[in-house]
Amino acid sequence: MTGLVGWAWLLPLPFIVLGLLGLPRRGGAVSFLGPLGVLGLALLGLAQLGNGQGVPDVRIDGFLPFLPDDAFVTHPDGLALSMLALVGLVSTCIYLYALGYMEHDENRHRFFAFLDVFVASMCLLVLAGNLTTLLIGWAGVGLASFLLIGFWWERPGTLSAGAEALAVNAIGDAALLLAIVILPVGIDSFDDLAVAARQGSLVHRDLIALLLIVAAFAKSAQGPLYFWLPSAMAGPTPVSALLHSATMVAAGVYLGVRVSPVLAVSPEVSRLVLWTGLFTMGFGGVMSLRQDNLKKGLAFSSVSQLGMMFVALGIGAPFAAFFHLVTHAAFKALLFTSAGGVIHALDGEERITHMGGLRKSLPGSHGLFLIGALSLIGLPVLTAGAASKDLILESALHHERWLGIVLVAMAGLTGAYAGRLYFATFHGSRGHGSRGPGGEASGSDAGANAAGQGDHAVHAPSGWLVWPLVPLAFGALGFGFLEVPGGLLSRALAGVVDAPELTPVVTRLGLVAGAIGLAGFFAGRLLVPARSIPLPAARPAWVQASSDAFDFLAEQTLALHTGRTSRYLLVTVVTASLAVGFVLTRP
Amino acid sequence: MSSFAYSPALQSLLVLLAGVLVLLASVSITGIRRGAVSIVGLLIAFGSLLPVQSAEGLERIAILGVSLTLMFAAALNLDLELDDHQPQYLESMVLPLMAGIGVLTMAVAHNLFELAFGLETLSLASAVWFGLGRGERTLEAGFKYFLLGSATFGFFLFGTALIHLGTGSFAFPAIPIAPGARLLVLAGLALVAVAVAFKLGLAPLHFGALDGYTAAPPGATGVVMAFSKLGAVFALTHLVMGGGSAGFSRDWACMALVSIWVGVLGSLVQTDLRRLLAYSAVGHAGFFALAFAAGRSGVHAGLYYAINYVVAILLGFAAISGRGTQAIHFEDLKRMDLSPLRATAFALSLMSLAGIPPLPGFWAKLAVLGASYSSLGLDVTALAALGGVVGVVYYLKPLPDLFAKIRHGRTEPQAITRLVLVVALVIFATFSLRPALAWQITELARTAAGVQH
Repeated sequence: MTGLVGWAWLLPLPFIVLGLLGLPRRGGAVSFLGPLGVLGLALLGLAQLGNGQGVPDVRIDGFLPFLPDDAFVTHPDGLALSMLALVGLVSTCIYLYALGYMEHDENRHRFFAFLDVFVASMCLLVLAGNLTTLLIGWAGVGLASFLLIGFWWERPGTLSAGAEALAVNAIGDAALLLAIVILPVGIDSFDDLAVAARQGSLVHRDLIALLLIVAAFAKSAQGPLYFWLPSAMAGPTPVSALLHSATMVAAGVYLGVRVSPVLAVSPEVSRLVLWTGLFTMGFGGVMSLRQDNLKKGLAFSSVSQLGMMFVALGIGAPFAAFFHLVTHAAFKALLFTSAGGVIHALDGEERITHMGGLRKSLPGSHGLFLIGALSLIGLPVLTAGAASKDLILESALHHERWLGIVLVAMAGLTGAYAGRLYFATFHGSRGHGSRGPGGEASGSDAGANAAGQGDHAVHAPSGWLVWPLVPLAFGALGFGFLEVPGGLLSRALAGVVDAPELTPVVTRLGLVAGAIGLAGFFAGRLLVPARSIPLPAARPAWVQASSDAFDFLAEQTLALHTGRTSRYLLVTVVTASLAVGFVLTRP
Repeated sequence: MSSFAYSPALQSLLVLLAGVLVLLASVSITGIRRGAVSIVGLLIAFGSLLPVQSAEGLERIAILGVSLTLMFAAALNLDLELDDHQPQYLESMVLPLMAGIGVLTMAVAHNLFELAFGLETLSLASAVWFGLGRGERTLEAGFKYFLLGSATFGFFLFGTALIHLGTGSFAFPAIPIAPGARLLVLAGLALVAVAVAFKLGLAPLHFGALDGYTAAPPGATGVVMAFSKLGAVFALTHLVMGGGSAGFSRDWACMALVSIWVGVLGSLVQTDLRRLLAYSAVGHAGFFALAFAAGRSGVHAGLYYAINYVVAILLGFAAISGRGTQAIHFEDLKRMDLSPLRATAFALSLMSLAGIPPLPGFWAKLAVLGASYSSLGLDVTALAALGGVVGVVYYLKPLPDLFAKIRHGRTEPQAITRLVLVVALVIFATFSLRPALAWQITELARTAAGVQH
């Protein structure tokens, strides 16, 4: 039975076929069985590991014969199985949630088929035993992301947002591809890579580390490559919750954890990771404070939290990064899905300036959002976010004193943007900011059907939008106990990632950070926008500048193409003469 | 020459030649109609595929590539009623057959003389075909392609003459080159390479191909693109396996990089789909050249790239075939109401050309970059990979428009086009999921049965 674990990524595939055939009548009604099966297999595998037995690999030699190391390998170790269980759990919840969210969408079959493509690719990515196999899943999740962002293609901006995401992902794919090409012969698994790195026998060590990290940055929207993630919020909310906060964007961190032995022996790249993560963390937090759109506010929060995980990777604390990945997946998925409940109840309204005072009419979404927000800011003892953040803070303080202090201070920023979104949505009065100048012009991405109608009546949310989220809420509160105080997670990961000594449930540092976070949370209430905020420029300057530079070069290239035959002949003769000249003058 | 008589590729070639004669005779005697011509063409293509069972190495690749492309050409010829610019149904069947004969000749060539014969057959057929459509634009493109093809063919002959002068034979120059003949042979090889580069559409010799690809009807463009790339790749295989060109690899790599970037930059601001595909052909020519610049170890990667490229390009052009010779702007795509099958096929083709895994175009790029890294080093490989990345952006530009109107009225393709699309999609999917299969097909046998010189 455990032999099947390595094939878990195949489980969603039958549902793709069902979806394309238009079965069952209620589109996607059975699709959740795929991720549920993945969860089951992952838990089975973990139980097997707990018994001290291994889970067999799947290995197909000769899959890509043009590479020195050509095998297709899935390697279900503790890290892969933990991540797989997480993906299975979050996906199952969100599939059920999406049954309610997409209830009235006529293309529901296609939506679930795309989601299945995503889950299958993500599972392959997680289970991959070598870079080549990982790359297939890596690209598959990118493609699924493109398809799902553009799912509501008739709304303005969705398809270009999808293309933007794909373009940035392509940068990461290219980096990963180059890394595979330059990987020395004989290293055909992550284990070999780790061994070679530890022995110091890895040729091109720094370059490989750099390429892997560039790939991770592209996937996890870090540093200058952040801009696609907020645009990706044009997709349906279940997609934002599953792909663009909990799982797919965390794949970069997962890759970082996987190759952490290489990072450990490459101090320059580690420093780059640290600084990029730190910068992105602050930048994401500040940008979140400036958003009018609820989902984009949460998206920048994801950018910021992912930055924190990269800080952990940069200081050589991969276990802390992975732990935070797990808890973040739970509370961020919860935040997005409960925000989706609000958006659904308001018929697609996403601007927080058009919300407010919803805690009475939407008590379920309110409670869940609050749990998610408190876990995000890291309320000590009670929430999972506190446990994992605490571990990162401790590691940072051990690494460099100033870094720990900066991270603790940033907890205030996290609290502020979480509080701002929370209070703007659920407290105050309805539509408090909608009367501001330019209120209608600054429409959200869902503005096609929201703009110009003023405020909407709140309609009662369906149970599908609340009950499937309960496991996520338990996760957001309780995932901390996976590690503290029992050390369950570090035992599962033993041999793959070194865990630090056990930390107590609460530390002084954690209490301070939690207090600062809470203070920020309530201060966030003061930051609730009084009027609609004009949308900031869609693209950062460097993207625009490089796009302009390419346009200029392109015009020069086209100018050569005159259509005059005499010119063409001249070029031909000159080329031939030059070719002969070069060849003859060479010694 | 003794092996010539039993060569399976030669049998295919004879089938094609007989087919051409039969078609010409039957039309002039009985005046059969378009449908019959296409069906006969299809049968000829099937006939030329049969010897593949006993073929090895380069011959197997050549027969597969040529026969499949011809089947595609014949099937789409049936669909040309949609295309009001194509009254010449006989020519549009005979010319692909002639081009196929040229490509097969290039594959079985034992020496430069036979190679020249194949090259010129292919060039002439392509030039006439480009000019088939009505209107001055296609005529002009055909004439330009003919003129430039002739000029480069002149270089080819001159180069062949120089090599003959140096070595006393038409055989593909091998290493070691006799010291006294070195300069003559190298200069000759350089001139031969110029002609092959033109055929490949490599920058800066890409202008003729660009005009031709843009002017001809889409189905024809796809077939000509496939044939000229295949022909050029076979010629390169002979030259590189011969070994005499080993000293050129750095020059080829430079041309390859220039070509990749000209292709990328030229495509970037295009709004005409066909010009975009034409410029992308220049970029892909760069990747072909990069594979062969890597020397003998890159030949397999180059052939693998070729077969995957041909599949993608035929899929893409089949998807937009039957739409006349006018420019197709991205804006027009919204109004074209492509059927979901056509839109999906075109999207997959574009994504494969862009190199998005796990599509065949990606595996091929991976193979070429791998070969390039091991022989040419990191700098060249990184520049090429970067070119490929920027490429993704422009390939994806038309995607949004492609699906924009898909739910509103749609034009269903003819049954035969649908069949072609489905077959091409099946091959495409197989190459995506089993990259090793295409790799085995493109393997030159390591025994004496492979490339014979």
